[in-house]
Formats: sequence, structure tokens, C-alpha cells
Amino acid sequence: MSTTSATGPMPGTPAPVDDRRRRELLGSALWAAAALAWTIAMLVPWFRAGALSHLSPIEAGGALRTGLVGIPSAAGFVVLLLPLASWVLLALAPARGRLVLAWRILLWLASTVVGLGLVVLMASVSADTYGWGAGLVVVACVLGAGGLCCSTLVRAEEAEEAQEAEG
Amino acid sequence: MRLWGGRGRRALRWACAAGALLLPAVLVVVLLSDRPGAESPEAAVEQLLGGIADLDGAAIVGVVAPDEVADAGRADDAYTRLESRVLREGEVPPVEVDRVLAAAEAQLGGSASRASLAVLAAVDLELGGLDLAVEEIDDGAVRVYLLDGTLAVSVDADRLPGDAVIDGRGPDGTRASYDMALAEGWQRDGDEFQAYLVTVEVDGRWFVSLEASADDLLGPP
Repeated sequence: MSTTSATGPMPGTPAPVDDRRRRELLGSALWAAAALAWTIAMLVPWFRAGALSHLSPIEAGGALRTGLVGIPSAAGFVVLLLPLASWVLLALAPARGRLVLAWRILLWLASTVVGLGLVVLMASVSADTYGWGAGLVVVACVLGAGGLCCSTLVRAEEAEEAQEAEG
Repeated sequence: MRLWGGRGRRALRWACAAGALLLPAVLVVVLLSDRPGAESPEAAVEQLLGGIADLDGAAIVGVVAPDEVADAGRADDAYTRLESRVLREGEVPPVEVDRVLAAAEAQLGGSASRASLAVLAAVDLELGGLDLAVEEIDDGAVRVYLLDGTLAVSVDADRLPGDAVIDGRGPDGTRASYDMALAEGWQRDGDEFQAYLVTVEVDGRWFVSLEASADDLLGPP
């Protein structure tokens, strides 16, 4: 059990347990908020105006999965991959270790690149497009970045501590 | 050991795992909560037309006969038969509408999918004034006639990408628009007829059957 001095931790020493707990709790909360935002983004339209403004990705995916629209039905499952990454990230939030951090970075990068790519594609075809869904995806990516920062800090402290213990 | 652990950490693990399971469960519930079909033949046709106006694939698929949805080839065959012999002589869109749509395609460098998205984002479709009448064919099969109804189409050039100024205004300065009188102009093999669709009852719910509509309108294949 560590103790915290009244003047705070000395430079170069591992962060106290309370700080780490706060960071891990904050990181988990950010991942949870990001996963929630990704999930809601699947249920609301991404377009604010025009003929697509009534359609949510989950509804579009449902129509594609029937195969009636001449597109392979597997395409209907692709929309589910985006929130899937956020749910895995939420499940991984309290886990520690180098491998977990690597997976976290990989999944966050993949979902952010795809999500923001879709939003940029929308912006390129219409000047008056962004609906709730597109806004939520951007928010989810930012929240995920915050969660990743917390996880990286905790991992850095762990590594520092392990090094100290070996030394 | 400096890492915090114990009960608090276990609770955090459980909370995150529960959240990661709960969120997909919400999506599954939403997906399954839409009961397919409609309460009446008129409601089934209304949902189909509304789904077309809203480009809501789920609403359309949800009201097409379940066996035709399960075997997409059947619905596709029926649609192809209808498309080949039934047509509607529609309205000619005003020149402003054509101008805006052509501009959408020109600005997006020939990418068909992006141009289609741009057009869909610039176009508003609104269904109104539906008047339907029913005629029973036999037990569990009903014709629903389209007596009246309008699909209002309007195009907003300001929603298109790029800096080009497109003259997409009508003569009075309003947005380019026109109305499609959905009940008029239908022809079967060149002869005018009152448009209708056949609905069927399955497990107490009503669905539009493209196959039954094609058989009833055109005779068996």
C-alpha cells in the first residue's frame, strides 16, 4: 500500500494509488460514454435534411440485410462493426497491460478513421447534411481519444513502476 | 503493490462488462421491436408508400409479404414483371430541378454514388393526400386502390457542395419543386387503369404482396 505525502508525490516517483484510480475510473467513464454515443448514432439519422433524413444506419442495414436492394446482404452487417469496436473497447476499459493497450489503440484508430471518413464523405456531397448521428460519431471519437489518453497514462505509470521494481 | 484493486476494481470490471453487453442488447431490442406488417390493408399500402417517400428501407421491407422477403428472388421477379408491363406517364420536372440535379452530378466528378448521395441530400420528398379504397378478392387477399395522393418533390440547390452558384429557383424565386399525382397516368400494356396493389393477411397482419399484385394485374407468369 502506498502513502501520499502532504506535499504530493515527488517528481519521478510513481503516481499515488488515488490518482491512478481516478484516471482509470475517468478512462472507463469516457469509454462508456463513447460506446453509448456510437450506439445511439446507429439509431438516429445521419442526415439532417433531404430524402435520407428519416433513415438511421440500423434501418439502412436492416434493408440491406434482406438482399432486396440488389446489394449483397452481408453489407447490412457492416454498419454493426462500427459500434462493435466501441463495445469491445468498453469491455476492455478496466483491463491493464501492454497487449490490451495495443488493441485499444488499434480499435480506436480503426473506428475513428472509418467514422470520421464517413462524416467527411457526407460533408463532401452536401453543404447542409450533418444530422444527430454524424455529430454523435464525432463526439464518440473525441471521447474515445480522452479514454485512450487515460489508458496510456496508466500504462506508462505501470511500466515505470515495473522498471522501478526490477531496479 | 501500488495498483489499486479489491472490491472497487471488481465492481468497475463488472460495470464495464455489463455496459458492453447492455448496449448491443439495446440495438437488438430495437431491431426486434418493429412488428412486421400492418393492422389493415390500407395501412400496409400507406406504410409502403410512406417508406418509399422517406427512403426508409426498413419500413418498406417490414410491410412486404414475409415469404417474398425471405426469398428475395421472388420479389425481384414480381417487380421485374410489373416494371416491364406497367408504367406511369409522369410529370415533366421543371427545368430548375433538372438544372440542380445536373449540377450535383457535375460537381462530384462523375462519381455515381456520391452524386446520388448529393441528390438525395438536396431533395425533399413529402407524401400527402392519400385516398385509398379496398376491394376483397378472397379470404385474406384484398386489392387496395390508390384513388388520390401526391408526392411533393422539392430541391434545395444550397445543399449541394462546392462554391458554384446554381440557379435552382423557380420563376417566383422559391425552391424548385413539383408535385407527382400518384393515382394518375398508370398504364398496363398501354391501357390506362386505376393503380392498385394486392395485400395479403399473414398471422393476423397485412402485407403487400408484389407477387400477388403482379399475378392479379398481369395474369400468372
